[in-house]
Amino acid sequence: MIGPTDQLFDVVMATAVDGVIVIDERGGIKAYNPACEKLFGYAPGEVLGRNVSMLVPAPQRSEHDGHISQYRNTGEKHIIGLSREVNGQRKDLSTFPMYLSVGEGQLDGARIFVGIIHDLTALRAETAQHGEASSLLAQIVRYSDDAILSKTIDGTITSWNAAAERIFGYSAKEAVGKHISILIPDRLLAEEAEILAKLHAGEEIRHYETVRRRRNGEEIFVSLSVAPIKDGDGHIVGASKTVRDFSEKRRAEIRTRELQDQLAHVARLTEMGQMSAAIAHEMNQPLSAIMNYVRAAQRLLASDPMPRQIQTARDAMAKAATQTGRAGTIIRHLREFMEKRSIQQSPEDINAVIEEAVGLALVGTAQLKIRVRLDMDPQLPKLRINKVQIQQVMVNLVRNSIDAMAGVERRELSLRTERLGPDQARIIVRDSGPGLSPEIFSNLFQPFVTSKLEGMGIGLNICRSIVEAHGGRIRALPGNGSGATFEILLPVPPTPEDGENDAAS
Amino acid sequence: MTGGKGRLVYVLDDDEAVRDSLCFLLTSHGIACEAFGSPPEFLGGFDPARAGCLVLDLHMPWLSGLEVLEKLRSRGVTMPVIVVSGRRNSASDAALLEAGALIVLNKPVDVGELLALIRAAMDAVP
Ligand SMILES: Nc1ncnc2c1ncn2[C@@H]1O[C@H](COP(=O)(O)OP(=O)(O)OP(=O)(O)O)[C@@H](O)[C@H]1O
Ligand SMILES: [Mg+2]
Repeated sequence: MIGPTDQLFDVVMATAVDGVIVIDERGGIKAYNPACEKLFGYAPGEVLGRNVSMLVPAPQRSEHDGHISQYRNTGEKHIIGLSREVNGQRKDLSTFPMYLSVGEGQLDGARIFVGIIHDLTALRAETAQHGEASSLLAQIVRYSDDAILSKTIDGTITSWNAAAERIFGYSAKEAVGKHISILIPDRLLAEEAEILAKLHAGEEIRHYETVRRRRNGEEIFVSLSVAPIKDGDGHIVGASKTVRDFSEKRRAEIRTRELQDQLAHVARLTEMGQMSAAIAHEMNQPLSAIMNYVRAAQRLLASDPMPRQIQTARDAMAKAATQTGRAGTIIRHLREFMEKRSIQQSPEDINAVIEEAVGLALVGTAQLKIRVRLDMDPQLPKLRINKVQIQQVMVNLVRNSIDAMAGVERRELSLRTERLGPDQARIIVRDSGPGLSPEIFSNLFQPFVTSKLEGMGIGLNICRSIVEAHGGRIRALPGNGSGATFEILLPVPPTPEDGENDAAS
Repeated sequence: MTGGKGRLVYVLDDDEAVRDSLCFLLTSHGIACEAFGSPPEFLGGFDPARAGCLVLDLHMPWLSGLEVLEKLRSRGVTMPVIVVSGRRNSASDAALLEAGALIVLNKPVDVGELLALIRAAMDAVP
């Protein structure tokens, strides 16, 4: 063959997207195009003249050799002229799926074989994904927390997942083939007709909140989503339905709302805290001004003042006096605010009040993994307290404990109530934090005593006013080196009914 | 002395009594000062050529002390700024220092400390 044909061969080899490889009767590689280089990772110099078996993974190698020698010896065409899927082996010894077709030709009186290699890696990956996707889908349906079911257009149930079994109490065997109305309370049967009408109109129904009926007749709150199932021609042949049981969620919502209401009460505490911050800031202004005026006057009068300086100093003192008046007004406002706060008291189960308050104080601290131990004396009689205020005290103490335990490994909070003699109840709050530092211990309950960057130091002061307003006492117990302990004593009201109770039992 | 350079200490505080008293104090120590009651007034009214130092209240309506500081710096004004705050925390302190404040002081300030700082700041300005 001469020039132009050689050139054409070269161009074809160089341009072919698929790998092209030419071998002789013994398997020696005679040509190897750039596409092959990409596929196998060998440069031509590394393969030309060597045996093609280097491109075949070991397990198939002998088989491959067999094919060639068999053909050579018997003329039996095993792979020649056929195409099939085999694996190739790259230079790095990794393997890949390929579609191989082999043709036979003659060159210079000897047989040659031309192999065309099409890489199947991408295709395989895609099919694998499809397979995975459908089994994934099946798994999703299977493990979904929501009931997923399908029905024909006239309402016969055709599929039923595990969650449906759990939510409605019918097994798949029982449900499939039955009419969907087994799930619908009689008074709501009209609803299903409406849903069907919407479906017929091709509409989807999303998060429709309604009531459904379990096998045992119990009614549950659910949220339904329904989508039409269409056949290949676009005709609606049925519907798929997702049902979320949110009876529990509903209950949780109600509970959350209750908690929020309570929080709003206790938030007055925060209001109080913010109020104190605002007051501290407010007080800072006249105090700063007074300080500046007084220092200025001092300076002006320091050494042999001239009459003009004396006059200026007088002005400064007058202005300072005005500022003390301003400070006084701020304090009066604060007092009025405190006095306006209602201090109605009523008999309350102190254990329940504490438990609630602790729950509130712990909101948002789950990641701290605080272990809470409640050790409540169930025999405690009701105490006459202002529930909100006592909760404020408890929230304050627990919040302090949480703050204190932030930096320690073991976080344990224990609360205890007990009767202490005939006319007192005791509440103990103990934590596993570093305990109270000696500098702070002596004036712990004074306002503005704090060791925290963001603290106002007002929390314990408020606790003390509240407890004392209840005729009780609060104190910190000197820790024995482990954590802080606070003790609150509250009066137990005299119970004239005691005698009656005895008589009744 | 400091006043001799014709430089002013600017006082920016939204509380009239505070800024008036501070000017009283500075004047009584022979330090010339000019007071402003709001960030816009100050930013529009101060004279960079005479700026010796700024005593800045951190908490003001409209623009916080930090924003005033950032605005000054973005305009290339390099005068020393002493921030005074009644509600400090480590985060805001860090932000202020980052933005180029000389120091952050607690309110009410220690008068001796403030005067010493102002003098040092004014002397440092070329
Ligand atoms: N359980 C505790 N463990 C260790 N130290 C505590 C504990 N409770 C209180 N303290 C110390 O007592 C100080 C005063 O507490 P207090 O509740 O009065 O103010 P605060 O928590 O600092 O600020 P806030 O006004 O926000 O409550 C705290 O800053 C802390 O140093
Ligand atoms: Mg506290």
